[in-house]
Amino acid sequence: MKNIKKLLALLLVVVMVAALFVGCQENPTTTTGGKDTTPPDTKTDTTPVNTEEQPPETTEPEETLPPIEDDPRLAAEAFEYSPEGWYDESDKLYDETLGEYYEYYMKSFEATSMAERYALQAIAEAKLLGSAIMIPTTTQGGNYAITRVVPRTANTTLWGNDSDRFHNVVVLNDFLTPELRDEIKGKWAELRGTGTFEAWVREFVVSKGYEIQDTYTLGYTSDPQTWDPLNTYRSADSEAIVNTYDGLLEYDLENVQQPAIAESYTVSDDGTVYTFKIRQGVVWTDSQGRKVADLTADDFVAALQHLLDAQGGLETLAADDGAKILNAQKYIDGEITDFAEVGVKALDEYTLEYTLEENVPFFTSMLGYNIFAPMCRSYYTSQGGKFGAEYDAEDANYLYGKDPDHIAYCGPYLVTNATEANTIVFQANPEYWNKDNIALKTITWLYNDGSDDLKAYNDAKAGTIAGCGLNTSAAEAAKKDGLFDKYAFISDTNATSYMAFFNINRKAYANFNDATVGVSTKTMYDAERYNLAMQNIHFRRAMAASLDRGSYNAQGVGEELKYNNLRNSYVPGNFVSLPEEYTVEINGTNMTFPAGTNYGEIVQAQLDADGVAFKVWDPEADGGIGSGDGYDGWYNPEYAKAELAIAIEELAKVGVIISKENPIVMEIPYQGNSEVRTNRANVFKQSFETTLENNVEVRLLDCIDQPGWLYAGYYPDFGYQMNADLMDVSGWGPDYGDPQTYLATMTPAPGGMVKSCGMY
Amino acid sequence: MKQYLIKRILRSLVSIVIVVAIVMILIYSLLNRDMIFAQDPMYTKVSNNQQVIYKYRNWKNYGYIDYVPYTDWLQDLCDKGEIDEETRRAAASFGRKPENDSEIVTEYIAKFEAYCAENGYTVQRLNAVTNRKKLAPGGAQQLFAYRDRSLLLRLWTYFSGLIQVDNVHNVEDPEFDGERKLSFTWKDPAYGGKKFSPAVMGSGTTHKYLLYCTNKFPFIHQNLLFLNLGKSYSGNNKDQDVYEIMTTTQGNWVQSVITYPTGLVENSADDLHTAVYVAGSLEGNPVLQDRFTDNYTSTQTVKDSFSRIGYSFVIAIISTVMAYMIGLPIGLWMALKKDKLIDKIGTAYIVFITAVPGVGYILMFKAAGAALGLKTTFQMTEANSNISYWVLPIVSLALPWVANLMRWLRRFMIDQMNSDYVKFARSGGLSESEIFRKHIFKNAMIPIVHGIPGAILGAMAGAFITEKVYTVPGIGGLLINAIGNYDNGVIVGVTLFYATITVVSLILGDLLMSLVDPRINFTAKAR
Repeated sequence: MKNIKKLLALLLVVVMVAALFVGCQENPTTTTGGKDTTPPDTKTDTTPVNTEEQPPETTEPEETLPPIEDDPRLAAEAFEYSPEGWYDESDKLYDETLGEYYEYYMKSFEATSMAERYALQAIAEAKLLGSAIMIPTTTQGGNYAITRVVPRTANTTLWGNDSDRFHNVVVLNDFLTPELRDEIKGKWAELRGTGTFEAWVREFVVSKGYEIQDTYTLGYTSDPQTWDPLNTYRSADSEAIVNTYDGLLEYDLENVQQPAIAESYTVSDDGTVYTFKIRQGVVWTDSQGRKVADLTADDFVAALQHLLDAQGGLETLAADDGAKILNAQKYIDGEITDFAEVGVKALDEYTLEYTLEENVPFFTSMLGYNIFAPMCRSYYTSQGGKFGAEYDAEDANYLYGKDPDHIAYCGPYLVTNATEANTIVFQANPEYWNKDNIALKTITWLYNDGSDDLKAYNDAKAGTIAGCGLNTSAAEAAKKDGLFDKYAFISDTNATSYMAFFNINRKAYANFNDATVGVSTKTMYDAERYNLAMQNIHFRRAMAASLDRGSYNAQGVGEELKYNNLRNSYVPGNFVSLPEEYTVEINGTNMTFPAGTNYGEIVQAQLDADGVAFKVWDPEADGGIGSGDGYDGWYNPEYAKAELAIAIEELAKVGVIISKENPIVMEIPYQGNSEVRTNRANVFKQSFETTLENNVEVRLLDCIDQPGWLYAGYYPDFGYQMNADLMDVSGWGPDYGDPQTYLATMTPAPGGMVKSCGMY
Repeated sequence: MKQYLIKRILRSLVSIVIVVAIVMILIYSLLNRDMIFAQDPMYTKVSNNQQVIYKYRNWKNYGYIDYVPYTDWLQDLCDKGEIDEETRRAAASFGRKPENDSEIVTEYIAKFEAYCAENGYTVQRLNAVTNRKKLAPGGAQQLFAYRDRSLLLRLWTYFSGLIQVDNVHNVEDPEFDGERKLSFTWKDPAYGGKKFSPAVMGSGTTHKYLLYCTNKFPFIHQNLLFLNLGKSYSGNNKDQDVYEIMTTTQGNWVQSVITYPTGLVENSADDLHTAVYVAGSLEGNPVLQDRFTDNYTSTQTVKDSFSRIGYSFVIAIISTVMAYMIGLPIGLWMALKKDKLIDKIGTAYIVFITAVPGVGYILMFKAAGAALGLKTTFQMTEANSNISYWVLPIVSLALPWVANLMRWLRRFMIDQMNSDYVKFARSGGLSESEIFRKHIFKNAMIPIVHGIPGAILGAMAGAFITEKVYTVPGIGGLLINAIGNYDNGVIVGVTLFYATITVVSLILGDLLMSLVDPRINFTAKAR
């Protein structure tokens, strides 16, 4: 009896512990507020071939194929696929759908000027968007906020880390009104490039009765996990670390790149050798401000080697995925072990030379990135750091970067306090080479875990932090306090683009990891017809134009803000602009674009020429400055119906007869335990079915939880494992200041985003 | 009594082991390993074979598996001198597909496979992923072996390494040329060598100072014994020991005048007593050469605030004391005035605390405090000198505890009041107050006393919600955050710590009860 009791007690304990674990397990899937937390895209590749589903040759349009025979077997049971010929199948399909895009994308590499390169990239993007293989959905930002920080007093480039350099931010004693904000932003656009904006804005706010503070306190949500800028991919890390070092060149608050640690640089004629003159008199200090060493060119050599040794996640940006430094990729892959062969050299104490494998026109735009941060070689080795094969971060002696007391500083601030989930304090570095031009003496970060919706607002109201975004409940409170009407503005959008991808070649009808989840209800007949329909460009355009993206977005951010963070292109329309006037041939007509033309305008020109009614650039948006964000330029029921009519006609010839009674069946997996995700899935259904007048039937496939959903269309490594007809999880943020950073994800290679479309 | 205690302690130890084992089974066998990548942006940036490798490397780091890449194995052979560098290089360049391997590669791969089979590893070879003859991104060929770590082995390594003693053989630097010894001094050189302050110093040990004195509580400090609870794998404390995470002081560094081993006197925040050996650190670093005479150069800085456990403990102890000071008298009073107004008000309060969930009333206290002008965000730099940052966390923690004490004391008192011995005492002519003080209260306090050690030790576990709401840099969120981050090392370490606290406070509670109540006796005879 006693033993049984003991056994029961033990069982109880086990059950309780198990319950504890189950109960405490974080549900990573929930989306909160207006922020889409979906992870960015996974890359993969693959290639299933299926003769059965192969579209018939379209070269003989006269011949009309007989209607596809009904096959009522469930695809989830009857469909079998072996990926033997996947690559060939993918190649063929890719050439049909994205061939034109790829052609222009490859052409852009042969461009002889930046203007030509951007123009060709823009045309490539127009072809990509025109192929309607994906629908751009949202970006981040576009929410209400109140702040005491003057806009445009920190750098606003959309890539790299310089936008987190806050040393000259103007912080006021009271909230700034939207009217003044707009005035300041307008003046910024006017003064941009003259170097006089900062002086003007300081005078301006004082003349409006504000006082300028010399400290800046802001909230933060995630602690740095390392203080080594070369061994991290997390933006939460680099946002903090960027205060501790300077790069070779840095973007200033007018978004002009200025010399920082490099005084000047030269580029060889073929664009492959960059030589930097390093500033003399820059010193390294420890966290207590004691001088450790002089900064020399060799510290950049040490830094690059450490980056490639540590492989913290961004190292390939110095190699094949970005800067293409000579032999860097081979060093990463272990094909080369002698670092001397890698293309970085200290020619003398103050001359640094990078050699690239080919001309990389955006090389200097990457210099603000943490991957090009310098590292004090002697300090690193004194903290147990080693190079090459000896590098071992697990070693007990390896202390470098573990906390702010174990790095060397050459930047504007020293970290005097870093307490997890509480405070990070940055104090002006007394030994900083440019200390006279630093306006803020102290920057303090105060932690906010986000569990209290009103905490940031209450802190901002009390003046504890300088400003905050307004979520729904904070906006309510602000309205009650009268702050909303007086001070609220809509925050800028950023460069991350989220997309919904159409799978035009679906081969999987249950999750690849667990065939009991995400089981399709499609019959073989539905499946075959769907793939054939999706491979028709007019059908895809009809689909893409029939989604009410505003309603889609409203499920996450609310009705009021539903258009603010809509994105209409893949590369943000204002990501780059033409450095000089350029004439490009668009469908046989020469078109001249003046210097300063935004990338999005060229994309739009090409789309217009192709007769595609997607509006990816609106010259009236963003208060008349023009933008590709903040409106719905894709939803166009008229156009959708027109395209559908063409598609119905064309598809009939290949045996796909579409009617209300015999619609194309599309299946969209969704995460059933997330309200936002479920609602969005329902918007897809509603939009597609209503706009296309029930010629399409959308079935929603409940994948129950986030893992189930992600395994359906995000985790698969190959296109033939994609168990989704449409997946709206992926997003992409830029790694450097060139549209290539986006466009490269759609190339016909394994490891790209085309996986989501059922290729590679 | 002794026998009882020994038995009790042994049983406690067994149950702690069982708890840790259960947690390990849960973490390493039952939870889906793939989920650690769900929120990992890095995972999305790698592709093809690289992604597979990334998974395995992380599983190794998180303690799920043993993982040996073929190239590491070769490097190992090379380091051991079994093969030379040239052979290693030749053997390491295996082909994109097995049929492309050279002879020497085939030979060494066979050896690798044999080695793996012997040690229970599974070998996996990923052929290169190519596209139009070119290597796809992340598509380089890979060869590695892995094996799941068995529970018993895991448990054994965990418990056998639990307590580590610093000794003179700890420094493994081949260039270490000092004599390996311990030395004792009356006058600690860190204070300039003139002040009386005994210290035990080591050479060849990990720490330079093994025992030393300071003017801070508890005055005598040690670096000799180290509780190895496990390491953090992910999150902000990556690679830190759980013990260190809990006990390291936090805040701004504070400088004071100190004398370095070279005799340099400087205003510095370095805490020389924390000096740890770092091989080769002196060489090539003029800053350290100016200050140190040997490789014991890595110091922590003196900080101005408490450690995590310190914050949690201070807040919890004050609130516990407050709770007993308020809760017991009110409980008594309620029992005395049963069904009167005070009893009803008290009961209402108890019902409120019991009925409203923790987050609910803490947020209510927070809102009320904010209205009174108290600070709701615990800014540690300010909190050292400003008491108003402390009020809300302490009160929020004390108030529910007060309700708890009120409820139980009142209930025990009322139970006792109706018992026969009270009626007997009353009939014997004892005054009401005497009955209350000498009989009822004493008896009613017995179960309350049992909870005191638990309250004090439990204070070290921190208060999750309170600390979270006011952002107190305490220990409370440690376990929850670790679970969220899949930080397995911390989960196991903290579980062990909590389990130990619970077990110890139960034993102490029982002992305390036997002190208060002479009827309780643990000797076998008396029973």
